[in-house]
Amino acid sequence: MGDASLLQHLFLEQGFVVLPSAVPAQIKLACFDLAQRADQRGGWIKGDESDHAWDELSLDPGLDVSSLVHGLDLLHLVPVKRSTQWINRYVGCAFIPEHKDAAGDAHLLLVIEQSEVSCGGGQLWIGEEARVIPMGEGDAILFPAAKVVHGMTPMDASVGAKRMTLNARLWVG
Amino acid sequence: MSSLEDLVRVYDQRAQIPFDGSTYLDRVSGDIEALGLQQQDDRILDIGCGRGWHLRELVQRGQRNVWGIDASGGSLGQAALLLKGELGRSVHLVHGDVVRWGVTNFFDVASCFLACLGAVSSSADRAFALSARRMLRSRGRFVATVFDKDGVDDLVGRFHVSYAAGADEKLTSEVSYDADERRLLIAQSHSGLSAPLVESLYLYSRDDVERLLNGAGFQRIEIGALGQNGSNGLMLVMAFVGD
Repeated sequence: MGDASLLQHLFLEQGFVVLPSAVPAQIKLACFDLAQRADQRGGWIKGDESDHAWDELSLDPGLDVSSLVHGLDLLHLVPVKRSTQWINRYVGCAFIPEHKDAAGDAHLLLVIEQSEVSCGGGQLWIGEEARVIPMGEGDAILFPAAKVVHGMTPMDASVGAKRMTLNARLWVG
Repeated sequence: MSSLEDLVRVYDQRAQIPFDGSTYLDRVSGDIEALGLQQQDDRILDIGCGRGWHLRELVQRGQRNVWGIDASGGSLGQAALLLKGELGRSVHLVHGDVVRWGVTNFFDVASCFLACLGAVSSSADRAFALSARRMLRSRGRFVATVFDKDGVDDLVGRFHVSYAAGADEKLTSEVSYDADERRLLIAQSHSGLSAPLVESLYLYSRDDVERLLNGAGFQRIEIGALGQNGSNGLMLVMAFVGD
């Protein structure tokens, strides 16, 4: 089984593929730059304390999909026809409740920033809340977010934890 | 001196040899006993999980949150086949170098059986030990079996290992020791291989391992023989994270 077919196999059989250290440095820098510009000029959809407790920045146009993952031909793994992309930023006690995405064939989530003091908070879970996916800064995951329930465990406000992710909803052509 | 890529090539090639595990299960069972597991929900990571035999044993013993990582795609592909039906339920696989996985404070137990310490470089070994420590949460523990410099007499020789029950052909290993370089040299041959596999490991002593793990921030380290029959050339290493 070659590496690409192994990842395809894991995506289908396991339901997700964790990609360690897959976030390219230029994508990380681009996200910080976009976030900073949005801080200065506006652009964030601000979270509130009800059902959307995080900040969201829509990217239109998005970044080049083929450049989002380091060391892997993403388009070979997922023949992407189109994508929508956004940045999420979490602080305080933010969490994402159980949900399925409304659309898309696959979801690529890149951890751009994740403070080490998060004490286990701010972690993606898939399928059931007990199944937390181990990921840190620089890691990525590909999973079918419209097909499986998923969410994010609460951030730990007491230690000033912060987290930023780049999200790409992918449609296969 | 090998690179990680060289090492991965060896494991990718070895994964091509048909292997049914029947000659291996006693050792796997003993390794898992050494983990001293008590909670079925413990988050367990098997570093260098290879073809997944330890992962399968963990699942069969009722562990519900098991992860394996391996840099060898060939080995991990075999693991995916072995664990079919359990993938995404109680066991999960990650392809890559554990040093490059950014996880912190997550696992209760990290294991590494037949650790490749000494195969690449001392800095690679330090990075490996630091990664194992980083991934463990408080009160977590790292359990490994490591080739023992002081058990080298048990390691050297010519060995024939059956890779499948009833198979006529065995994997032949020629193991020698270069005392000047302190390196174990392993050459393996089998008709399923296009060329012999060659590995070379700098052998660690127990003091070396203790120093390595202390330097990575483990609080308490216990090193002993594996099983009741002496060293077999392997040391059993347990390293604990504090509160």
